[in-house]
Amino acid sequence: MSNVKQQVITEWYSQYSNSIFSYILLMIHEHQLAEDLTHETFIKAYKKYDSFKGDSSPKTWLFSIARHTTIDYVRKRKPVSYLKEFLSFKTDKGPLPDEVVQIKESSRELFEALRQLKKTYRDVIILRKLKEFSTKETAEILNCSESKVKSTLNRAIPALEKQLLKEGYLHENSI
Amino acid sequence: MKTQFDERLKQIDDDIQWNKQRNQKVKNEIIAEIEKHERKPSILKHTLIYSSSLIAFAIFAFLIVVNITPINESQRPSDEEITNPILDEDVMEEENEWIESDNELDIEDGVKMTEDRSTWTEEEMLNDLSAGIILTHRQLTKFVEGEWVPDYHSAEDQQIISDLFSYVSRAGTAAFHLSADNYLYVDLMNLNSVLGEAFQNQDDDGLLLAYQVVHDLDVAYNGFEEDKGPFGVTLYRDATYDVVRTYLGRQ
Repeated sequence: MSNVKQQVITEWYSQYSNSIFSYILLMIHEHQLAEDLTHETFIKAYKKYDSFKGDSSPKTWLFSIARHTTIDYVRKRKPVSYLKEFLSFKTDKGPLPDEVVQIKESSRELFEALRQLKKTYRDVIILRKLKEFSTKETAEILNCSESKVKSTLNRAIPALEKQLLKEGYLHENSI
Repeated sequence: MKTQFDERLKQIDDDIQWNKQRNQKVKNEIIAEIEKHERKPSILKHTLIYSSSLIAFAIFAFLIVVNITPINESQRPSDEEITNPILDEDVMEEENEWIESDNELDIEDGVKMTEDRSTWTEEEMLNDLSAGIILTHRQLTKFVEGEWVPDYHSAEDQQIISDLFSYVSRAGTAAFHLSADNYLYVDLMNLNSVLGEAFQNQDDDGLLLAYQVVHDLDVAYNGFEEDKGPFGVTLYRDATYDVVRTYLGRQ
């Protein structure tokens, strides 16, 4: 049983680790931390493997663990620093170290605009638009109703477009 | 149907590339940790068998010695009890330290509003924004959990009410100055109005609504709780916004 468990986790890692890593990176913007939390996500998946009943897909389950792992980590930080992350004051906009992660220039503007959005908006955009989860899967990961996912997404997209305009990445007539 | 903007968003995910070597390194670490974890139970099992054999042998030897040695009549259990008082004191001290440290955490966790606002720096505004939400949430949680039953008239409750207004107003002003988030500013202003209405009408339902709003703000901006609450799933803004407007007679 243990070997089977290890094998499944290894397979899941091969399939989803990149996606989990980028999801965490998009949430916290710290590449080293994103690696550590990806590691922790798969260890938690291994430890909680027996509780996985297959009601959702392994990918949805792993994303749910990744989200909780990241939130748990952030909660342990002091409130002010957490708030700073939300409001993104004086954030370092320098390039991410190439040895860990590379973000193509074509996406950097959107990546930066996303990090300026508030958490609830960012969560939904990442899961629905970047990761292409369905509304139902997104609701499962975020532990909320499907209607909340829909309404939040309806507010989040204009907020992102507004952010892009504000930063001069988008012209009004191009929206 | 996918728009061009949707395609651009999807592209971000493809454009974030995690270094393959780093990915492999993390994979190796995970496998090593899993193997270590799996080895633990068998090591533990062997250790348990070994130590229980030792204990059994020790008990057996002790029983033999007791049977052989004549009992000293003058020795009483009460004498044995005081043979090592220092150990007992140590344990007591340790327990007290635990209790003290628990109390310290309860009473002082560093969440407070800025006292001197003559130079209200960005750092202090950020603090007041966060602390205002936390302190209001704490007080209203006491109300929801029955620890605080406001009578709306006593000097003590008047002070609490005044403090709540002060927390929310200052958090709102900070949000305004920081240009943090228009929704946040509006929510804080609405929260202040709901509190005002509730206190004026001595309305517990209004306080409950104020709690719901500040609970959502605490989840959204301070992230201290699961995205759930006593109301089931917290529907940040979407659930409370219309209710708040109705309560304030704006709809």
